[in-house]
Amino acid sequence: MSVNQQINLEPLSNFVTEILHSLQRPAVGVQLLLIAGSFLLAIVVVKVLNPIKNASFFQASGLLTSFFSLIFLSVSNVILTALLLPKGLIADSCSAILLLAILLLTFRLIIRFSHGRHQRLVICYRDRLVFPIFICYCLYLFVQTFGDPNEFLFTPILNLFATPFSIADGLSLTVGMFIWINFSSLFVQTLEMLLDGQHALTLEASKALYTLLRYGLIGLGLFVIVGIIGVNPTVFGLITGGLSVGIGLGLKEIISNFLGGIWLLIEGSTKPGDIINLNSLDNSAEPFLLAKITDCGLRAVTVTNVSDHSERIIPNNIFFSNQITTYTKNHNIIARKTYFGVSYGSDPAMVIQLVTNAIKMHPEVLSDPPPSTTFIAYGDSSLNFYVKFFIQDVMGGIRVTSELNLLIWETLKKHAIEIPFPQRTLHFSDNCSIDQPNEEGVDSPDSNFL
Amino acid sequence: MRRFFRCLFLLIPVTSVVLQSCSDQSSTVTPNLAEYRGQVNEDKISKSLTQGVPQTSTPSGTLTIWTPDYKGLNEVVQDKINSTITDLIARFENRYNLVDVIWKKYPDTYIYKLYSDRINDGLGPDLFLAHNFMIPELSRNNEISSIPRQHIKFKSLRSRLENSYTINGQAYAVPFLINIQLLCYNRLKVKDPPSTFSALADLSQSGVSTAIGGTFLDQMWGLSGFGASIFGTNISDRSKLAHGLKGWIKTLYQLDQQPNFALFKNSTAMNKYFMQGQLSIITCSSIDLPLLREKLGDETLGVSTLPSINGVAAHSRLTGASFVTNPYMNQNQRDIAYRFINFSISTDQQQQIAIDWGSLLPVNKNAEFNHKLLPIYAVSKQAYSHSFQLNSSEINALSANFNAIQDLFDDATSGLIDPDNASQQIVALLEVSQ
Repeated sequence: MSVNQQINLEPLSNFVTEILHSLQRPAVGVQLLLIAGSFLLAIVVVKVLNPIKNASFFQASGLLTSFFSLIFLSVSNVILTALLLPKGLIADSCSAILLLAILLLTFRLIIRFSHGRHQRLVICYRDRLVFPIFICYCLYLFVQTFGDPNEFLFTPILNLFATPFSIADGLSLTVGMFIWINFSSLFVQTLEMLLDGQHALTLEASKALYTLLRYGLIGLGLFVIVGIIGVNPTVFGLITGGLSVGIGLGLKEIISNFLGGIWLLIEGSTKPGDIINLNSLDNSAEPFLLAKITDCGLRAVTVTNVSDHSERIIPNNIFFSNQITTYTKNHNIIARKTYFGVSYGSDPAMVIQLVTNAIKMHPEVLSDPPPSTTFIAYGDSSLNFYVKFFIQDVMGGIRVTSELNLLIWETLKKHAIEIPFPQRTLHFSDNCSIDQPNEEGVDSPDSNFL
Repeated sequence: MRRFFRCLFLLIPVTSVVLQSCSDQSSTVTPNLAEYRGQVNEDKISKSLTQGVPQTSTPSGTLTIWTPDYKGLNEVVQDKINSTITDLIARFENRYNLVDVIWKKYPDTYIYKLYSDRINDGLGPDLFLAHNFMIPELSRNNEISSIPRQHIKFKSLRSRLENSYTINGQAYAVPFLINIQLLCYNRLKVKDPPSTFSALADLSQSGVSTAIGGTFLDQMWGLSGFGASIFGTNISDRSKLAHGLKGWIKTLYQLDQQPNFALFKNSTAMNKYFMQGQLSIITCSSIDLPLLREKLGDETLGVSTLPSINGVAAHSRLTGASFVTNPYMNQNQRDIAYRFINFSISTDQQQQIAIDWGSLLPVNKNAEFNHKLLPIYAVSKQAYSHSFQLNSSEINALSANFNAIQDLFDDATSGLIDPDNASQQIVALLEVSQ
C-alpha cells in the first residue's frame, strides 16, 4: 500500500477550510472580535484598575477575570440582539466561561476548607483531571461549532497495520488514557477515604487492595480503548508475538518488575507499612538497618530508611527473588537485647531476679513472650548478663532499649550493686627515666619508647 | 524598462500555454474560457498585473453545501440523490476550478435543528437543499435570505413551482428537484393502465391487486373529481369542500372494502409489495422510479398519470427540494452560491440530471426531450400540468393541525368514523389553522 493510500488528511484540510470560510463572514468576525475584546478588557480591568481591594480570594483563582468577561460578553450580546445580528458564538462563550467560573469557585472553596493531604489531592485532581476535561470540552465545542465533529474526529486518517485510525482513536489513546488513569486514581482514593476504617482489612492490606484496584481499572480502560479503536486481531497477535521477542530481550527487567509487583500485591508478603531489614537486600548496609515500606507500585517498592529518613526505590524483582527479613509479616513484635555487667562481688541470681522484675514493669515490654535475663559470661572485670525482651513497636527498639538501660541502672544502684568498668594499672620499673622534651619542643629519639 | 514590459507581454501568453499543458485537469471538447483564465490568474506575474482590479469573471473561494440524508428513503433513491449532487459539484468545480465545494450530508432527523443552531452563530452552509415544506418555516425564523430575482434565472423555471419559493412576493428558494405523483403498474399483469378511477376500480374487482398510499396530502389528488379544491387558486367554500371530501373519503372507503384493493398509510411498504409483485397497480412518486425500475426492470414497470375521477383530471400535489441561502454569507460567498444555483438549474445540467434519473421532470422549462426517446418525461409533464404546489400560507395552515387531520382522514377511510363528520372536522381544522 502506498503512503498516499495510508494517509488521508482530507478531514483535517476540510476542517481548516471550513474555519477559514467561517472567518470570512462579517457576522462571525464581529462576534470573535467582541469575545476577544471582552477578555482583554476583563484582564485590563482586573490587573490594572484592581476594582476590589484585598480580594485575593477571587483574584488568585481567576474568578474576577471570568466575572468581568461575563459582564462584557453580556453587554456584547445585548448589542448584537439590538442590531439583529447573530450572537450564538457569544452565548457559547458565556456558557463556557460560566462553567469555568463555577469550577474555579467550587475548587477554591473546597481548597479553602480542606487541609493537608486532602487539599493537595484536590489541587492535584483539579489540575490533572477536571481542567483537562474542561479543555477537551471547549475544544470539542470549537470543532462542533466550526466543523463537523463526526467527519473531523471519526474519519480514518491513517491506515496502520490494516487498521484505520482516526483522530478520535489517537485522542482516546493519549488524552483519553491520561484522563482515565487520573480518574481511576481519583476513584480509588475517594473510595479509600470513604471506606477508611469501615472494613475488616488492615491498613496495609487495604492499601495493597486499592493499588490493585487502581491498576486493574487502568488495565480495563486500556483494553476498552483498544477494543473501541478496533485493532485488527491478526495484526494485534503479530505485534504481540513480536513484542514477546522484545520482552525476552530488552524488556525483561520491566516485565519482571511488573509481574513481580502484581504477585507481591496479590500474595501480600510485602505491603505498605511493613518493616524490613535492608541488610537482606543490600549487603553493604549496616547489619541492622530498619526501613518501612511506604508504597508498593507495579514497578518498584518505596522504602523509608528509619535511621536517616531517606527513601529508597527498590525494583520489585529484587523483593521477588531475594530473601527478605520482615518484622511485620505475621506478628508485629520484635526481640531486642541489651547487655550489662556487675562486679564480682554481686549475687548473680539476685541480679537476674531484680533486673527481670524491673524490665517487666516497663509498659511496652511484652509479657508474652516473657523477658529474660541471662548470665552469659565471666568478664575481665565483671559478671556479664544480657536481657532479652519483646516489644510491639518494631520501630521503637532503640528508644525502649534506652529506657530499659536506665531502668536497669536505677535498679542496680538502688540495691547497691556495682557496675564495674575496666581499670588498668601501670607499673614503672625503677631504672626507667622519663625524658623531658628539648628546647625546640622536639621529642628525643627515645621518647617513643614509652 | 520598455524592453522589460515587452518581454513580460510575451511571457504571459507563453506562461499561459505552459500552465495549461501542465494542468492536471483533463481537456474538454468545448473550450472553457473561465477555467483557462482562472489558471492564468493563478500565476504570480498575472496576479501582480491584475492587482486592484476586481476579478468578477473568475470566482474563487469555498462554497459549503448541506443536503439531508433522508432516513425514510430507500437506499437506492438516496444514493441516486447523492450521486446527482456529487456529479453536479464535480461539473461545477470543473467549470470554476478556483472554487472548492465542501458538501456535507446530515440525517433529515436533525439537519433542520442543526442548521438553525449554526445560523444562530452566524455560521452554517452557504447553500442548503431544503424540502419545499420547510421553506416557510425557515423564512419565518429569518434563517434564510431572500434571493434577488436579478441574480437567479427564475424565468427559466416552470411556472407552477413559483408557489414553492415565493413568500409575500419575494423569492426565498430555488427549486432543484421536483417530485410528481404518478400511477405505476406492472406490465406483466396490466396491459393498459386505467385512465379513469372507475376503470381502476373495475381492474381491482377483476382481481388486479391495487393500492393507493401516502399521507392525507398525497391522497388529495382525487378531490378534484368531486368538485372541490382544498388548496390552490380555486379553493372551495366550506360546504363544497366538506361535501367533496366526504365523497372522496366514501369512494376510498368503498374501494378499500374490495378484496384486491388496499389503502396504505406507509408508501414505503406499498412500494415494497409492488416490487415483490404482490401489488400490480400503485400510486407512486417520480423520485421512487429509479428504485422501482431497478427491482422490476424497464420492461415490466409501467408509468402513467393518476386516473381521472368523474371526468376531471386528478390534481396531485407537487413536492420537491430547493436550494436556500444563508443570510450571513459575505459578498464573495454569495456570488459563488448564486453561480452554483444558476449552474444547477441551467438547461444542460437539468437535462443531465433528468437523463441520469430517467424519470425526474427538470425544473428548467427549457430542458426539453424527445418524448419518444424518454416516454416517462411526457407522462411527468402531463401530470405536472394538473398538479398544484402549496404556497407558504397553505403549508403553515396545514402543518399546524396536520396530525389531527391525518388521524381523522385515516379513521374515516377505515370506516371507524362517519365520513360526513370527518370531512366537517377536517374543514374546520383547516379553517382554524388559516
